[in-house]
Amino acid sequence: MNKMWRVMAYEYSRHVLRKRFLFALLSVPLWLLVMIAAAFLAVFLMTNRTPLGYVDYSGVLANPVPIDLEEGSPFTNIPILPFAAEDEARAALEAGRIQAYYVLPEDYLQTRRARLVYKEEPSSRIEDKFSAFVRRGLLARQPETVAERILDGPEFVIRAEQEGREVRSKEWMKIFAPAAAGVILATVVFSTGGYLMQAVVEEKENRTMEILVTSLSPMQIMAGKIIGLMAVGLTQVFTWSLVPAVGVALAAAYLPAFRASIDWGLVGLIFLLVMPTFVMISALMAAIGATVIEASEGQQITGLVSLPVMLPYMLIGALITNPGSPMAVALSLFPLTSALTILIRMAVATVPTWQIVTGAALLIVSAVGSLWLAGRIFRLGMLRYGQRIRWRELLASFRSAR
Amino acid sequence: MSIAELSHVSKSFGAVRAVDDVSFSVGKGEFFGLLGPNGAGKTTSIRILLDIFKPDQGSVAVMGGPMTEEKKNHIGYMPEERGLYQDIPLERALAYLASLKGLTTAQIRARLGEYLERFDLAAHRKKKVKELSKGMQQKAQIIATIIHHPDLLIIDEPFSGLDPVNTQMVKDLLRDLHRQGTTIIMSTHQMHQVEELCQRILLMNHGRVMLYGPLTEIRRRFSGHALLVRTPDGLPDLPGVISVEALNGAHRLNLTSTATPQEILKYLVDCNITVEQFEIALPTLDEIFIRVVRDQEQSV
Repeated sequence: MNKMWRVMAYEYSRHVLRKRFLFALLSVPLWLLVMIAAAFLAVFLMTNRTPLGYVDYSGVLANPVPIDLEEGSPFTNIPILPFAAEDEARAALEAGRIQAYYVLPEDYLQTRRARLVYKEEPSSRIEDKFSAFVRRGLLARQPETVAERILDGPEFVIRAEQEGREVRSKEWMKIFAPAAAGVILATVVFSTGGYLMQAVVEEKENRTMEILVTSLSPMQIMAGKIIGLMAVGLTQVFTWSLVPAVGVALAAAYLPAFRASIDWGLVGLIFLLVMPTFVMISALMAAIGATVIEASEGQQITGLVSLPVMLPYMLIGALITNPGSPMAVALSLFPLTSALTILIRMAVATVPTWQIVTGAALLIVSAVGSLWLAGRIFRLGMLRYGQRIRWRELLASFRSAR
Repeated sequence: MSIAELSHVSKSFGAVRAVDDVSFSVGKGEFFGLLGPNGAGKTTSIRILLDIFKPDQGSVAVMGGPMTEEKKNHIGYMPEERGLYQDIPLERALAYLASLKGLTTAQIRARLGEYLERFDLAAHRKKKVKELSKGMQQKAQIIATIIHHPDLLIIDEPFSGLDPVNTQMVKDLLRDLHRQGTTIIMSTHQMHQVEELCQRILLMNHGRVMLYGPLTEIRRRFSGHALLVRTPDGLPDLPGVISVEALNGAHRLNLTSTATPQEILKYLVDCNITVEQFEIALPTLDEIFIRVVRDQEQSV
C-alpha cells in the first residue's frame, strides 16, 4: 500500500475511533431521531382516528372513489363512511361511531357549500381529507390521466431564457440541495480543518514529525492527512445526513411534496465546488499547524481562513435580495468564498454559466496552489520547535523553489 | 564504498551559520562517530544528510546519490528529540511507524513481538505511550528505528535518559547490528561511548570540522612524547625522561625529544624491573576534544 494511503488510514482511524468523535458523530442523528419520533408521537396522540361520515344529497359521491393511502400517513388515516340520511349520521355521531359528518345538499354543485356537523370541533386535516375525497368524486367520470393531472394542481415553472435553466415549484430539491451543501461545507471546514491543524501541531509538539519526514515526503504526509481527514468529514456528514435522508424517504412514501428525483448534474456541480474548497482550506490549515508553536495559537489564526469562508453566510441577506449584484459576482469568483456564494445564489436565482465555470476553475487552481504553498511552509516549519517562521524566510523559500 | 557523503555543505538559519563547509563520508559497514558540543552543528548535518533540510551550499549523496523515497525504507533514524504518538497504545504507534518504512502487516506482527520481548516491553504493549516511563519510551523509540532492519542507522544521542543496564543493552544491540553489516552513524557528546564503539570520527565545533579520520590515528596524532608504564617495583632514574606523573596506579613518563620508547624499555629490562604494562600514552577523546576546542577559541 502506498505510504500516503497508510497515513490516510491512520489519520482516519485515529479520529474516528476517538470516544469524543463517536459521541459527536452519533449524538446528532440520535437527537434528530428523538425529535422525529417525538413529532410522530405527538401527531399520533393528537389525531382522532374515529371515522368521518357524510350524507350526499347531491349525487356527487354516488360512486365514491376511495382515497388511497398516499393522502395520509398510517397515523392519520381516517375511514370515511357514507350515510343515506342525516338522521342516521346524527345517530352515529351521538353514539360516538363517527367524529363528525358532512352534508352535501342537493344544490352542492351550484353553491359548492357543504355543512359539517360535529360535537367537538375536528382538526383541519378532516377538511383536507374530505375535500380530496370530494374532488376525486367530482373527477370520477374523467379519464384517469386527466383526473391525476387536475388533482396534482398547478405547477409554476420559472425559465431563464439565456441560460436555459428552469426551476419548478415542485422541484424543491433544486432549492434545498445547494443550501444544504453550503451547510455541509461549513461543517466540514470547521470540524476537519481544525482536526488537521491540531494533528500537525501535535506531531510537532511530540516530535513525531522528524521521524515521519525520514519515512515519506512532506507532500505524501500532507496529502495523506488531507484525504484522511476529508474522509472523517464525509463520515460525519454522511452519518448526520442519513437520518434526514431516511426521514425524507419515509415522508415521500406518504406525501407527494417530498418526492423529488436526484439531479445528478447538480450533485456533480456541488462536488466540483465543495471538494477543491475543502482541499484548499485543509492545506492552509496544515500550513498554519506547521508554523505555530501551540495548538491554541493555531486556533486563533484559523479565523483568518474560516472567516472569509463564512462571509457569504454573513451576507446572505444581500445575496438573496440581489443575487446578480457586483458583490455577489465578486464573491463567486474569489476562491475562499466562491463555493458558498455560488450555492446560495443557485438556491434563489440562475447563476450565469461563465461565473460557475470561472469560479470552479479558479477554485481548482487555488487548491493546487494552496497545496504547493502549504508544502513549502510545511517543510520550512515542521521542525521549528518554539520558533516562528519569519516572512523573509518564507519568501526566500518560495524564491528558491522557482 | 561510501554510503553517506557530505561535500562542502553549508547551512544558515537567519544570521546563524549552523554548518560551515562540512565534508565527510561514511563507508559501508562502518561505525562512525559524529562528535561535538551542543550547538556544534551535528544535528543540522544529520538533517541535511536525511534531506530534511536543504543545504545552502554543497552536495549530499546517500547510497550513491540523492535521497529518494525508496532509500528512506533502508534508513533508520532516531532523532535527539524523541518522538512517539503519546495518545495511542505502544503497539499501534510502533506498527504505524513500521508500516511507513514499507513493512507488511505480517512482517510487522512478527518483528514487533520479537523486539517487544527483547526490550522487555511486551507487558506494556497495550499501554498508551504517555503512560510509559522515560526509559521505556526511549527503548520503544529504538524499536521504531531498527524494526525495518535498516542498512544505514543514524542515531542522535542514543544513551541519553538510559540507566546503566539499558545503556549496556543498547551498546550490545549496536555492536550486534554493526556485526551484521549495518552502517551506523552515531552523534553524541559522550566521548567515552565513541571510544568504545566507533572506528572513525568527525569532531565539529561552531559548525566547522575540527578533526576527521580514524580514531586511533587521531589519538596517536595528539599523543605527546610520553609512555605509560605499570610496574609493582619502584622506578629508577631513567635517562631521557624529563618527568614522571602518577596516573591511575601507573606512571606516565614524559620523554626528551631524542629519547625513544625502545631505549626506555631496554633500560627497564636491564634494571630487572618487572613491567606489567608498557605503551605509548595516548590521550583520551575528552582530552583531545578539550585541547582542540581551546585552541580554536584561542585562535578566534
